[in-house]
Amino acid sequence: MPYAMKLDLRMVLALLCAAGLAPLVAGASEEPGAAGEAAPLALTPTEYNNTVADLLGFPRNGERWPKRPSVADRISPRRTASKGVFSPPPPPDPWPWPFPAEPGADGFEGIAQGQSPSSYQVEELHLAGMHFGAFALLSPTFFDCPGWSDLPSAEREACAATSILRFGERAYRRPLRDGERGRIKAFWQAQLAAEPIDEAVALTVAGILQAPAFHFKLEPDPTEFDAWQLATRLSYFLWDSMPDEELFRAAGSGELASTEGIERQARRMLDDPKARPAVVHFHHQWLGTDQVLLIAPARRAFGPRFGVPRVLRNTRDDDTKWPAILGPIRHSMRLETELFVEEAIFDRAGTFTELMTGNHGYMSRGTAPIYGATTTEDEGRAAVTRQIEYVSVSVGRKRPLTLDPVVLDPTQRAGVLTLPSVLAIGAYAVQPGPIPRGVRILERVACMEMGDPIEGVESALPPDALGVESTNRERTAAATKPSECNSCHRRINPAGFAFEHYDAMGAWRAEDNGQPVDASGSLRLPGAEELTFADGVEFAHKLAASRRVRDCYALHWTRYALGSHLERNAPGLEPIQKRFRENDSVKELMVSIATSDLFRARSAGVGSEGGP
Amino acid sequence: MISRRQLLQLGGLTALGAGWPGGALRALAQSPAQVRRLILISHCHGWPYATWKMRPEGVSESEPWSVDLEQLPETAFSRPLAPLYEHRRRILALDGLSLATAELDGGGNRHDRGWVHAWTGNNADFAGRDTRSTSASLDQLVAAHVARADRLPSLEVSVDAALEAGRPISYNSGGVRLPAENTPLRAWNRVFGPASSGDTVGAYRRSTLDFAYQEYRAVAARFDANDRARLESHFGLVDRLGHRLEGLATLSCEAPPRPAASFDRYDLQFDAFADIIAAAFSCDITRVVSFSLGEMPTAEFGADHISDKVHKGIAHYIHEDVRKHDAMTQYAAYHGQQVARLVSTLESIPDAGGGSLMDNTLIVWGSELGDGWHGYRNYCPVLIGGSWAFDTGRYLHWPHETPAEMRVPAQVAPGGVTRFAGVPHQHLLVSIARAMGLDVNHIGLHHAYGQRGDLISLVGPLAGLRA
Repeated sequence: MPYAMKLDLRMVLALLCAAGLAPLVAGASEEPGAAGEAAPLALTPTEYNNTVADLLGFPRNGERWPKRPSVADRISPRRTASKGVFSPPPPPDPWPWPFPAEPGADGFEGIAQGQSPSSYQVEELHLAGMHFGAFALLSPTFFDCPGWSDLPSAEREACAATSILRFGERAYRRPLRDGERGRIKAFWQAQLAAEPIDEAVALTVAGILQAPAFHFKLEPDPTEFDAWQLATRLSYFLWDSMPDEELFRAAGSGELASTEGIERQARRMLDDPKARPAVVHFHHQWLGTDQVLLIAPARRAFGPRFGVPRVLRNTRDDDTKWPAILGPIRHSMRLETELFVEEAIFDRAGTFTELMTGNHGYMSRGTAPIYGATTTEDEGRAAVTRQIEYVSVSVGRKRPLTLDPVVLDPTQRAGVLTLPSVLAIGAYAVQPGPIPRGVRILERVACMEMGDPIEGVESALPPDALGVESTNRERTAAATKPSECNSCHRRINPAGFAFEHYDAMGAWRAEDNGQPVDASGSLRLPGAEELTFADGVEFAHKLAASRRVRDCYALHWTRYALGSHLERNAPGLEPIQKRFRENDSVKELMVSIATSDLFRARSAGVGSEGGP
Repeated sequence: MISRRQLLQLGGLTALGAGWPGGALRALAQSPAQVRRLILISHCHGWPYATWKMRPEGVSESEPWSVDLEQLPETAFSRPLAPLYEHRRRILALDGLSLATAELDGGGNRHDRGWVHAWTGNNADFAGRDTRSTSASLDQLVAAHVARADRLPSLEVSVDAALEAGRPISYNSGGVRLPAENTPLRAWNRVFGPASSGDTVGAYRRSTLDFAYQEYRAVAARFDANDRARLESHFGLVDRLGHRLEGLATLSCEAPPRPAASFDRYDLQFDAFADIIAAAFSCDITRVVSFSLGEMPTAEFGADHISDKVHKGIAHYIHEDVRKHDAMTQYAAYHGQQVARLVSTLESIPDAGGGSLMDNTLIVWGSELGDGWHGYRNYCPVLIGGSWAFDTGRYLHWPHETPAEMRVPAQVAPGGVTRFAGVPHQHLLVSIARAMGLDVNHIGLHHAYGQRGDLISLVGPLAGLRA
């Protein structure tokens, strides 16, 4: 019997209670072999951290969390770094926990095929569980009763017990089953018998945070979700976090059984501020723009643009100036990307066209030399200031970074693909990289599998040097001319050459090595679409209107929502793509996915790859 | 120092005979299951190359060559290497390497760049609140391969002197630096504390792991075989972590004496750490150690008449002040004496699998920089041990032929730049990783580009280590 069918009145009542403060009164029976749970997707590092913040009622900002409680050190002391090298290391924030990144699949975390546990990751999850378990004692939402620590002993125990069970329900994102309830109670009692009550609470919460029902998004097999698991999928899709009380209520009331109910919740959730960072997070992964924090443009090429000589003036100069300049630039590029995406999708037209062609930028003092004089300030939008951290001269710095809104020259910039972040990650230290730029367009924007490059192909690439005798395009074309290269590079090169107007830091240039830049080209996409363009701006506009590109974007989102490597021709995908091709709206695309049959079924990923 | 008798008692091992036959080291039979151990030692400020290098008669600067150290008299050893003369059969002194990729990396202070590149082979990440790496350090890669499931995967220790602490040389796969125990007492507590104190904390932690594992067991039957296998791969590791905590708490070997809370000399602190490392190896509590050496007080190596600060008082000036160059030579030699004592300690303790602990240990003595001037050009690591993988007892030299421009003082090369660098040290990292059983072709970066655009391959081991 599908688990969904077990949703009885007791459970509905229980969930309604859960929306308030009372614990659930009962749970579903736990029958071995009943409606098998399957496709266990683990919480990603982002999801884990967001979830514990929401579970414990703390903001998603470690600086606003209370200090790590002493109980945490009693049950799991954190090894502290030694006193530092040139200055004491900064104390770690209470939140987020610095998990290792997931290997990922399709460029995204949270995809089943990209999740494989390691002993290191498991130990970090364990330590994180112990750490956050102690924070339950300070949580504004954990205890059912006010003034818990001042209560008489018996009342403290009783309150702790009910609070733990309520926490368990929220952590497992569904009503507890009878067996689970009993095991949690037994675990709590065992801790209480052995340890002081505050440690017992922390340890019990730590155990729950390591249990499979918390760490894995368990899904039923084979056909439909129950309402709880659908709520879980919905919240991690739209918020990168657990459901809120309203979504729990909707799951418990049966509202999610209907398409209209799901749609109502999805629209509500997209209007919630929690959707914004989640949508931005998707786009960082789509284009790899998180990597902009690691760009290393060469001082010998770009130093003078920022007032730093190409070469060191004297031997005592410990080349600290250039790194001190690069730190804020990297952060500025990343933050601009986030602001651009968020504004395009939530505050402007909200369309894919806007995302791909908008010219609303953000510029800091650091990136002003990259944008040059062709930007104009946009007084209609507010400047944004964020705290950033970076290491300069071996010492961690914390500085405010202000980005001013600007209108970018529409003849030079069009959309996310011409942001300096995207361009700089597609570059070498000196020269722009038409090959990595082209591969990114084909694989991430047009969903074309390019495969691995030929072994040792690096040696064939043109030198990444100043003072060369031809243009970057000419050198790249010559290096990739051999027939064994051409089968891929006939597509890669035009897609990359389209951005030759942008140097390795993303600044627009009219000339390369004294020659006018030639960014023109023609790219044939699968499906007989031929995109002919004069430069990157026109290319971006044509990509925005391309059927292949829109279908690809919808495919990425659908895979991301399902946590599975869905094939391009999977049944159920076409209606989502068709609607997106027609209405162009990113938020509507997300609603379409949330209300689709694919989203409401466990099994996905059928279909087969065909063609490039 | 722990007495040999104490250490022999630790593991209940059989004492070796008093004398070692001179040529026995390379002949020791190694069982395929022999435990191998790794110690990475990293000191501050590199080496003064001019006095570190050795130039036996008749060798060429422009050709690769090697000499058998057993054929050289002690007087032929350079001052920094002379302390290792007694262990010459075990060593490989490597002349001709460079931290070329640190020069090519764009960010951060040269110290930070140096220590990240030296031990991870990869670029540094300066975009957060603390310097990070972009991949795991060599010790962590090896630890993941050789660690026992029920023991510490690795031990990180640091001699933190009053001036500057040991550099962070150990990074996890997330690029975060691992904290190092910076007093022998803390290191002792980490290694022997769980077994000595009943380890309440370990019991706490274990209880939560057991709960999580039992929850998994309770629901496992609900999954089909594929999905169960997926969960099992996670919760199997949870179970193993529980066993590790239990294993550390139920060690059968005795702990060495608890060290003092503080030491008034750097040297004594080093030796106390060395004893703990030896005891940890003897009890098989860990198989991988990173040992970071903070800056030594100048009085300890006889340079306090020059300055009380090594970093800014001496190291920066090695190319312009002969006295300071000489002081850094003494600095390196003093570390050489410390390393030699560690080797002697490991030699004195029999290994359960045969031979001494040192026979089954590879020590890599490197640094954060090439020299105290912040140069990366001459990187001079020494391997000690690892005779199961390397043909030890040699000094090897390679000419500088890598097409990367390296910063040097103007008095070394006109314009302050050399046209070529030494062999990128990543090849050495590959050799070490392979010696420890990893099947890898590169560590950290796969390739880099020189300033003139030349491709520099970083793939493959360092040629010539195995004759």
